[in-house]
Amino acid sequence: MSALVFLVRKQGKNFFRDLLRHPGKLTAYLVTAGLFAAMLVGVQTDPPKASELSDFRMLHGFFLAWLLFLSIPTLLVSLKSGTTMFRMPDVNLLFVSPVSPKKILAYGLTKQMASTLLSFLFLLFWSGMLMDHFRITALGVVFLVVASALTVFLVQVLSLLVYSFSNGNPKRKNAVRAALYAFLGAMVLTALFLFRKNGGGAEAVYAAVSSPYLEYFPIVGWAKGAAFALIGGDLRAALLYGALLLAAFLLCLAAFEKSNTDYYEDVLSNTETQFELRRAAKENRAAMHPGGKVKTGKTGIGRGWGANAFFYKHLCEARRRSRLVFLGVSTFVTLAADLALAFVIRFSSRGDPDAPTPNVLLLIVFAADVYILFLRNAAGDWSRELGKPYVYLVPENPFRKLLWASLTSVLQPAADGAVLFAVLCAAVHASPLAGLICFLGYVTFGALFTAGNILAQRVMGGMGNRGLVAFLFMLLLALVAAPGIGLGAAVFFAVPGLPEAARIFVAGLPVVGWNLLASLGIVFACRNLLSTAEMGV
Amino acid sequence: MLEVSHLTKRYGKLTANDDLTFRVENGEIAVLCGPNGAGKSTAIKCIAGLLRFGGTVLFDGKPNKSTEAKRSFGYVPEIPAPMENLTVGEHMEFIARAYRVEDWRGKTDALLERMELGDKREKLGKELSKGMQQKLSVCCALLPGPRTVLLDEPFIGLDPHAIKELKTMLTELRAAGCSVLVSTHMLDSVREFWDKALIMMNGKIAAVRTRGEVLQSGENLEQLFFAITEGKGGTA
Repeated sequence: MSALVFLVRKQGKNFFRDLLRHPGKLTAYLVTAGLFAAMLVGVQTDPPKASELSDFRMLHGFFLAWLLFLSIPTLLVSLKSGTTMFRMPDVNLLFVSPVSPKKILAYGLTKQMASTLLSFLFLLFWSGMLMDHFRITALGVVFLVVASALTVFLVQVLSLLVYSFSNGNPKRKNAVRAALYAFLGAMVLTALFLFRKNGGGAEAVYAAVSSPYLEYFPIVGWAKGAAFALIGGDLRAALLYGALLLAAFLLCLAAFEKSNTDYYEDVLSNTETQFELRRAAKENRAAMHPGGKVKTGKTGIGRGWGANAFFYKHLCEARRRSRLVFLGVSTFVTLAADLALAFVIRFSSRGDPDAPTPNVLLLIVFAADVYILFLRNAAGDWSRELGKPYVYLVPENPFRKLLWASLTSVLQPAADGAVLFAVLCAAVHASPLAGLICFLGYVTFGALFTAGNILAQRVMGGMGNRGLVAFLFMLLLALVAAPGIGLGAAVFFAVPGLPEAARIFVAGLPVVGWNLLASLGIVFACRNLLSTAEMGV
Repeated sequence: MLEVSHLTKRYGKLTANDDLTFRVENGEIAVLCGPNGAGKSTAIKCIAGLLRFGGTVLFDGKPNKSTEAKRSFGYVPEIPAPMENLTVGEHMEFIARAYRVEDWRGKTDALLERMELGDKREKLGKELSKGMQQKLSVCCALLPGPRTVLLDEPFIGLDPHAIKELKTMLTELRAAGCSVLVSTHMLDSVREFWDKALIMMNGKIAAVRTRGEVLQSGENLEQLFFAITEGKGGTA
């Protein structure tokens, strides 16, 4: 039997055996499948009313944007560091073996396709929302998921080719980068042209984003075209787009093979980086990110003595990460996303008598920001510090170390919040009072999430990347925040006579107060954490 | 002085360290040796206070998790963990500030020079090779002037100069009355300077021998190690 077939067969078999030996893991898979099934049944038994449906053509636009989001950044990153479909054991054992590199590539591609499909299964959880809003069947959602996975897979193959073509040649790299931007620009221009051609307005937007012209663009356009042709029952178009995708795959593969049979070097760097990231996640510690040149600038920590040395060290590190210390690329990306969200909400509710007022619009964006803040909080200075031994070893009072080492994780959302809500408030013409309460809410939710991370470290020994634990943690935090939100809602309904902005402000105060109180309570309850915790080892 | 009494560490049903008891006297270098998976690194991490455990660990009579004890020991981890966005010089400054080391600049210069990191002061943690990261870990551990030093596989990744320098440093620490505990499975690397050997097998201390005892028996450390780990004799 071929060594590679043996490897695939054994790995598959051992995966299922391992699942049987770890009932917890098996239960997690079964619970996930059960939740998905329950959601599907729920949607089928309670179909949406026609008035609740969104324009189906919007889904075209969202899906195309999603595919572009999956593709362009991957290709741009791969120009720098390459891509990989292998793991370190493949490098160490297969690359040095006498097995043909072509067969090894086929093995890598097969594995990659399977893992890409599996990793996109989580998208099925959006199916309830999609079915509710766009009158799409469960099978339709499956088509969208498969098209997403296919796009990512093809983009990975293309990345391999691109890296192999441009590695060590800045001119070629620039040419590829320019081609990518030109591709993106051409798509945007086409959409804008169609928008103008259709006379502007909401109808023109819907017509532009769902236009078949956008489906003529390679890979993303074809994948989108294939998925929507299948959803619409147009088998001929689906087959055509499918054939185009297959041809693109074969063309990439042929070009790659012709240009470079010695592809090992091209995948090595990225495989090593991925290996280090996986190992770090497994060991519950932050990985070293070797990429990206950092300007050292002014050196020296300069201040701090004892426990507060952690705080000043974090300030020094923050200064090095970004010239604006606490503000960085993520702040401005969040701001751009917020502005886009506000624009989309405002645009899609034009002419609607129930359209949200500027203050309510600000509140909606605030809720989205709090969710993003939750996701970002796990990567804060405090979490990074727990992966290093010093915070445990330094001879200082554990509570003081805890406070000082987590302070920047609280200050970060304060700086972000000040920028986000000042700009948003001005952009959507909301009341400064509403902006102020959103800012305060954002800061105190940041404090609550940091406290939650401290609690997670105390109770579960850190969160790591364990999806199910992270999900439970999110539920737990929602429960902790619930009394404040409940109280806020009660106050809101208790003062109907106040102007809207003042009403929002007054209702926000209990939320802010409760968040602060809960955060302080949690941190105080965990004050001895650093003398009892186990380092992520 | 380091005193370990009945140290036990369990991960679920697995007992990684089973009732370890030993002492490392002042002015003594003890080596914790054993095959892969014997539990050496876990033991060192428990002693350093990074893991929860049963039993007691005392540094100069103080429990290992107390502030007083932390002030008195230095730890060199098996996997070096520098801060990626801090320079070498700032690592030393941070340790000095966190440990409240008053006259740290002179000490820093001396340590960095000995480890050939003097010209790397402005390099960021993430720009260092694995060997340099390890050297930096050693410098960070020694800067506060610890009375006890714990080193987990310290020679892995070091170049010959750094190995020689580290060995000299360890013997100097011994001469200054410090207790030194080195965990290693590379017996050659500690051959010249060990005073006490703690040989671990399956999470237990299988044997404790002083250099004098081994010399008296006509054996060497390697022979003793194989005799115990391969089941050809030896008792604790």
